[in-house]
Amino acid sequence: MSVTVKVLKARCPVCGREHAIQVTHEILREAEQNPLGLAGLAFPHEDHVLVVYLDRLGGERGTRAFRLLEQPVARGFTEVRVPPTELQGLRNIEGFWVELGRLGVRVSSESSVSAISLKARRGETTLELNLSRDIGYQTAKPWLELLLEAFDTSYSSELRDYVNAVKALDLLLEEKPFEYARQVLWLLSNASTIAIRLRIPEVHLLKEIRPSLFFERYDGDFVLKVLESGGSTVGKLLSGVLPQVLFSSAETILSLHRRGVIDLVIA
Amino acid sequence: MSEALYYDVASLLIPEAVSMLKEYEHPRKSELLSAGDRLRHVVLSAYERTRSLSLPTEVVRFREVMRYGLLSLKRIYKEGDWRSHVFFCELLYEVETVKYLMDWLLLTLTLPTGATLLDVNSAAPILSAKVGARTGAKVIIPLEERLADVSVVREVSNEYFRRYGVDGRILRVGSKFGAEELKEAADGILFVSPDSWTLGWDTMLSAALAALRPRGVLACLLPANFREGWRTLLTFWDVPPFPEPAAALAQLKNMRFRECKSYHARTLLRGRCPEEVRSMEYILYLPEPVHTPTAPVLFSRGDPWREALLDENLSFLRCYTESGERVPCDASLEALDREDLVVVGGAAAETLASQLGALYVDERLVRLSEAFNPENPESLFEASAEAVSRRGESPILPGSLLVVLPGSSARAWAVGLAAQLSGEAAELKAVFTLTERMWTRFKKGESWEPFRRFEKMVASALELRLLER
Repeated sequence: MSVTVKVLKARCPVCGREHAIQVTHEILREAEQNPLGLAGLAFPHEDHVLVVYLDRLGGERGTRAFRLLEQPVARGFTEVRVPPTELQGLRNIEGFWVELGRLGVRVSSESSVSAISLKARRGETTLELNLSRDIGYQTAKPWLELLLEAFDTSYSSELRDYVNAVKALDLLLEEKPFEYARQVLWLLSNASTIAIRLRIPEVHLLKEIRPSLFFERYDGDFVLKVLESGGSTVGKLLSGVLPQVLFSSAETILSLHRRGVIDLVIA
Repeated sequence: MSEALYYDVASLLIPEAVSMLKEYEHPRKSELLSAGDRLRHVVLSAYERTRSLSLPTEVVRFREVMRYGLLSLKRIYKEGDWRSHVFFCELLYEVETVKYLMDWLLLTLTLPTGATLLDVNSAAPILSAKVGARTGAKVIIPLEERLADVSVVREVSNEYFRRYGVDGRILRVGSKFGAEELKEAADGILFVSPDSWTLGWDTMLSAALAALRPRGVLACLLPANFREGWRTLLTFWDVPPFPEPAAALAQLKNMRFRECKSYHARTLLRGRCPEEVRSMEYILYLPEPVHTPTAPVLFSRGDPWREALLDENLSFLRCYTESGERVPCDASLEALDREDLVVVGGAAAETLASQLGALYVDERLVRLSEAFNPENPESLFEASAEAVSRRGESPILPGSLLVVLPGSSARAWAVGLAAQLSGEAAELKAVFTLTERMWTRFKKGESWEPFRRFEKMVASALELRLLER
């Protein structure tokens, strides 16, 4: 595990953005092994990169900004900002932006200062996450791939669906991938386009017999709410703001689908 | 109620099942169609016996679940949809007789720490998930190819592992299940699912012998399909006939299975619940040593003495009557029937129960029981009996939230906040500090009812005696 030795602040001379740098033993070791006795940390900004140099004692030995050779092409994305209240209760994700090529929309949270960010791309979708703690690239990688796959194949034009999926990712980052993880992210990122169709024999039996899994291990009230919601979209049922509630609701809906109590159909 | 009613209801479902066969291709279609013809007189007799009867609710439920099971078969063979099969298995576990038998198995099963438990061909591994959650056993679900290839079945196993917080995995075995397929060294093996019944009794036994470690536990829920009606109905699921319980028990005893326990649904239908098998005459209460070392206390319902203080070797130190008077007692724990004894407490009590071969009940479940009154030691019996049926359930008060934050001094080593959840809102109920020795000092909410249940000793009189000691 990386232990922070000290924390430094660095300011970008080009755009003025500030970074809190957590100096770890790994960084000090890198400086020691470098012939110049320095370790460089790079922070990509819009059209330039900020590089902060640290010596083997963890002291700052200067900052420099380099222009990028390839300027980002203006792609004509419509910018949509997610209000900070939407990201309440997140434990791992401090901020994010996602470019949805298919919709021509860039959804982003308020810019945040974060030492750790992960960026990934698939098809027409690019995603960057700013993390509040170092969870490790190998841990995050499978989840990022699953989320990008869900985003890139989503038919939803409701941006809330994508934000909700990011909220669920915040919880998933703390778990190991499981058999139906892809379905959870798929359901959330398509929520407003998927309608619930009830299967009457199963609904009747579920209400009558109340199998213990649904009423002990899931929120029984939400189960009953789903059973009363024939025809409405999954998006309408996922009204919670907290990521835990969202995630649990998505799991409940999938669990009912897995028993054939409901069918999920394109609205 | 007579068990014959179940056989009659099963017989009456056969014409429906045969009629449905026309809508899909069943691998044993011709055999089942001819069985339908052959059993016409059995169905007619069942009809004659039941037509003037008003069926009890539990029998109606059994009929509805089996009828749904037939629909699930059609969905498998016609549409390749296994979702209904999973749901059918879960519903079958909720049929009253099956549920009681499963509860009895849950009560009876004892596994060593760090055990490995196999739940063979289970499309909905609820029993192994509950046992795993209770004992920390690692669960393995060996699945034949036909089940392992179905993504819904794999997902449901994964769902049970996640929901019950169990360390589990699926083991894919070949197309035909055999003893050689199980190379796992297991401490327990379960054959409780309808899909495990398809293996037949002999395969179950040979698989158990091959997989179990010495002193391993074999637990089976066997279909009583040695009588017609139920026998043919289960043939639709490819379940072969099973021996009668007495014959099965005799066979087990002739093999290496020494301590055999059985419970027949017939007993249940005669009005005895599995919980009553354990008469719960004695409760051995071992409080968790949170603040100081604790002494075991034995409560009795039938002896002249009602409470006895024991030492660390479980020898009797002092005995008291109901009115609190000290009386001589020359009892010993070894002399008690283990079937009559229940151990209540925390982790230490669970270990002790395992050593004694007695039933263990989590103290937290007992204290959360409606029947529990901290002022009345007698209520411990009623609350424990109630908690027995909830074994494996979460011992956390539903809808509550407890947050413990690190403090900064010896007097406030940690700070606790307790809240009652309502939807997405949380109402703060209590604020308290914890000292290094886990003593609490309340700033707010000391009188909140859930705390009072946990803070007080079982009996104030008993507390005084413990201090006196």
